[in-house]
Amino acid sequence: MKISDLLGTCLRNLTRRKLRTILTVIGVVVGTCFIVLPISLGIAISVNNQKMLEQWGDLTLIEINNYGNTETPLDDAAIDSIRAIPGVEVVTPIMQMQVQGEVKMFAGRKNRYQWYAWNVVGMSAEALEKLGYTTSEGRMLTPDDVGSKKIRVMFGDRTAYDFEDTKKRWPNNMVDYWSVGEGEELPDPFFDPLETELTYQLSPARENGKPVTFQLEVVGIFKGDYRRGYETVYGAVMDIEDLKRIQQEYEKANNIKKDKTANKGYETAKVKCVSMDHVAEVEEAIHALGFVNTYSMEQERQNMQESARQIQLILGFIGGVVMIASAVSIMNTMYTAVIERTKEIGIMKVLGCELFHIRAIFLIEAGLIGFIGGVVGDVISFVGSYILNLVGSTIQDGGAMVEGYTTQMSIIPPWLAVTGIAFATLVGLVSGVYPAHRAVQVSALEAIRTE
Amino acid sequence: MDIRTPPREAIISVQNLSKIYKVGSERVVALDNINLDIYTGQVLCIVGTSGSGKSTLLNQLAGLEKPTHGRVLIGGRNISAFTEDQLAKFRQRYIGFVFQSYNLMPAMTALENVQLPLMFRGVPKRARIKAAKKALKEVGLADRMHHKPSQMSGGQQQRVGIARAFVATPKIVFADEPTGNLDTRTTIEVMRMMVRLSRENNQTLVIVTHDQEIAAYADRIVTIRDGVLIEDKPNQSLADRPEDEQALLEQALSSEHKAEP
Repeated sequence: MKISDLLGTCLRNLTRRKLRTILTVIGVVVGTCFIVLPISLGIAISVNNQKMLEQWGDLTLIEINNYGNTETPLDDAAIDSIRAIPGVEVVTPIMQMQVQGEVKMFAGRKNRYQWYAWNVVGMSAEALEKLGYTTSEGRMLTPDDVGSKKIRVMFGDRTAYDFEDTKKRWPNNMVDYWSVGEGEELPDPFFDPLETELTYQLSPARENGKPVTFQLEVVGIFKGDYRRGYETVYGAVMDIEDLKRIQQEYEKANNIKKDKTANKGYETAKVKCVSMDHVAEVEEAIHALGFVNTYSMEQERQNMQESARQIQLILGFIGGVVMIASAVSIMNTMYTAVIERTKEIGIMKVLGCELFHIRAIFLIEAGLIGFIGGVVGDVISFVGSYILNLVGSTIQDGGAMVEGYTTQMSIIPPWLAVTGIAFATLVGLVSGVYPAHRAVQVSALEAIRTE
Repeated sequence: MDIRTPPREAIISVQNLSKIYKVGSERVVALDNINLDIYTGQVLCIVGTSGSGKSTLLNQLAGLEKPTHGRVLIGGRNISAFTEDQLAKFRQRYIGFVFQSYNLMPAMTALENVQLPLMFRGVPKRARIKAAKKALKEVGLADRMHHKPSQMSGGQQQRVGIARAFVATPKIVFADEPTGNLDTRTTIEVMRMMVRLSRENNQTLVIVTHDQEIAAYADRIVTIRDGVLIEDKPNQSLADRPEDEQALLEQALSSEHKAEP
């Protein structure tokens, strides 16, 4: 028999007993819905979780804190071995200027404007872009900027406002940018940092010591982002090599001798992974290197995923039970069909229908019931999903879990729809195996037998 | 075909065939050591009363059942040793079957029913519709092609059955009490039709019946009683003696008339 004839025969048989076919299909429809919808809820939960976590911070970032660890210094060699871990996109140590006295930045004529530069951070210039830092003005610091005579730095987007006018009294010594209403334009700071030469002054450690000064050039201003770091708002960032150079010159000028036994490594480092899926392994590898004090969103993400998975599992289990019920119903329908058509099967055998084709006819009929049920189930699931989202959005009404996103209660990605149909078809086929087997066993003599 | 000079080639050869059923602890001998050669182009009638074993013999010949002892050779091949699958393919290619109760598929039209054997063979739709239409015309049902079995009389249904048996031009056509459910006039029609069709293509026709009048259409009549072949005689087919047939028909009709009031 040709495939088209097989299919034609099956469709004819299914339409011949319409009501029974429809009732059996309904079982599969319910089963498919009970599998697709719960999974869609689970997917929505994990997507929402992810969005929520993304709001809290970078999901691919691991922070290493090595403060107080004297056994394994987080030095350049350690940074190199972290960089070599598969799945690491970029790694940078984080260093703060360590000065005993005051640190200030000056701008304007006769250093009229000054800023207590307590938040100057050194990190590797090449890492900035990859860590997700963005600029609002100027350009990003690059490795080419390292080592220039005027030390090149990035400013946080509020840093310039933090300068005070030494010629004025409080409260007029600061530009008022905080009482600006939403949507209104910010006033200009006292000076344009991109156009102004700055002086960086580190006060001596002891009395009578010499202050050390450097000229600074601001190449760009970050877009403020607390998730990336406080320095993007109120601070300045320079390359770690420049920061070390300043530190050394300061120590030399002040005759500071380093304690040889002290930990020579960095206190903290940031590691950016290629993707979220690498975070767990990379974090583990970092632990294996001896840096056990790490922080990432991974643990939180895992916990959330785990609870989402559990909800999915419970709902999916219900779906599985419903699907078993519909499998039994398909089997029952097909078995009844075999008994009803015993004579027909006998006639087909006498007329030369091959066993393979008899088996195929019953399997395809069962598979078609599953397939049709799967398709209809998918359609109903899409409708159900739409209604859930509609109802969900009116319930939340602005008070969505995550601001800036419309929280969906149910998401059916294409793979889920396809899986739904494939699974229903498979259930149909499997349910058809035994009835088809019985059909093949029908004797050709059944055709001769007269009732 | 002249039965006095039978063709040498036996298309069906039954050798020492026995069939024994076990009913509880009892053994019922349905066929007892049957030997029979059937030649190409013959119209053979197996006659016997009910329970004589004639139907069992037909089942063996068509490979619907396996013998207990002995074997059936068709075209020199031992079909008793065939697997179910081989039998299905074998029937597909060499055998046509006419049933007592017509056995048409109730959901299918006459045209679709006649196409069935060709569909099982994998003949493309266009070709098999053409062949089925031709077969239905041959049996005089050109105007009933799109009727379902329930919309046709018994005689019409059986003619569809005949068209279905002959449509794939099988080497052998088996007929199991083909007129068992038909009245006299239709019986004559159906028998003439089968004999004519098998003559046209030099097909072998094996008919099983309890009715001696039917046997009159055969070239050769084999009688079975209690599973034993008791008589095997040549016959001049009634289909080749139209004048006798006419007389027979008139006699039958007048007796029906008499019986009516």
